[in-house]
Amino acid sequence: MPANQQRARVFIVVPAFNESRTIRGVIDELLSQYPNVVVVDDGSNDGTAESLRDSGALVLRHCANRGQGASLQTGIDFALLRDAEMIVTFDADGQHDVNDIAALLQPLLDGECDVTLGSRFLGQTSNMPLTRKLLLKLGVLFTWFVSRIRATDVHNGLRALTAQAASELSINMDRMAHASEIYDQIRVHGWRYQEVPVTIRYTKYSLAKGQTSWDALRIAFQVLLEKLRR
Amino acid sequence: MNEWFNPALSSSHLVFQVVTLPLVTLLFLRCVYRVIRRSRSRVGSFAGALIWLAAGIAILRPEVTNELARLLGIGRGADLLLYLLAIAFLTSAFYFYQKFHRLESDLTRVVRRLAVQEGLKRWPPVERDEEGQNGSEPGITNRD
Repeated sequence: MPANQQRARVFIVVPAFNESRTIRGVIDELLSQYPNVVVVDDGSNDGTAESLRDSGALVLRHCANRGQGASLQTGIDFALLRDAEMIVTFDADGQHDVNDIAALLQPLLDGECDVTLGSRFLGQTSNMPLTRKLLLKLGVLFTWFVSRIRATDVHNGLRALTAQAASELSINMDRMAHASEIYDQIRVHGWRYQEVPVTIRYTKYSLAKGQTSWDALRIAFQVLLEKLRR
Repeated sequence: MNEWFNPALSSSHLVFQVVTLPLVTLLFLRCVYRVIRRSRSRVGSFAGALIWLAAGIAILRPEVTNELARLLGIGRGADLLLYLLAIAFLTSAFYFYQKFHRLESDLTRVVRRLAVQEGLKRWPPVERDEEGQNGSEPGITNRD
C-alpha cells in the first residue's frame, strides 16, 4: 500500500465519453484514495464534464470526439506537466476496482518494472459472458502474433506506467486500437512489464458501453493496416 | 498517319477518339510541363505523363492493349484494363487512407493542445525544481 506522500505524485487518468451516468461515482471513489485524478471528457454531449464540476478532479475537455486512445494521451501529457511520478489509466464505466490500483503501483514503486498491466484472467471477474471470454482469448493470440508480447489479457483499461515510460509513450491510434498499440510500444521501448490480477465487474451498463465483437474485428483490421502504413 | 486513325474501327469509336484525345493530350502536356518546370514531385509528374501517354495510345490503337494482354497471358485488352483499374483503385484507396489518417492525427493534436491549454489555465503546471513557483506559460493565463 503506497503511503500518502507517494500517492500525491500518482495521477489517475480517466478517459470518458458520454459517461455521465457512472462517472461521478467512479471519480469520487478514486478521489477518496488518490488526490490527483485527471478526467478527459472526449467531447461528450451528455454533461459528463458538468457532472464533475465540484468533484475536485482535474477535468480536461476535448472540443471534438477524438477517441479513447487520443484521450489517454491528452490525460497523460497533462499529468506529466503536473509532475506526475506514476500514471494509472482507469476506465470511466465502473468496471474497474479502485482497490486494484495499489497492487498495480507496487512493482513500479519497487523498481521492478516500468509498466504494469491489469489482467482479468489472473484475477476475479464477475459475470463475464462466454463470447466475451472467447473474444479476449483471440485478442491475446492476436497480440502475441502481431506484437510478440505474451499477455493473458488484452484491451484491459487498467494499467500503470512510470513517468519515464509515460513520457516515451506516444499513442497514434486515436480510437480503440490504441490498446494493441501499447503492446507494440512495450517491445519498441524495451519496457519491463508485469501483469497484475485485477477484478472486472461486468455490468449491463459496462457491457453496453463496451466493445462489440464487430468492433474487435475492426480493431484487428486497423492494427494490421497501421502496420502496413508504416 | 492515316493508318493510325483507320484500323477497321466503327465510326462511333472515331467520335470517341475525337472527344477524348484532345483532353488526354492536354493532361499529358500538363504533366510534361510539370516535369520540366519541376513544380511538383518530378517522379509523380513523370508517372502521370507515362499514364496519359499510355491512355492516348490505347485510345488511338485499342488493339495494342489486346497484344499487350496476350503477351502477359491475359485474354483480352479489356481484362488487362480492368486489372490495372483494380490496382489503381487499391493504390489510391491506400493513399487516401494515409492522407485521412494524417489529417485525423493533426486534428487530434489540435484538440489535445486546446484541452491541455485550457487545463493549464485552471491548474498551472508544476515545476519540480522551483517548488511553489508555478511556471505557467505566458499568454494563456490572461483570462478569467
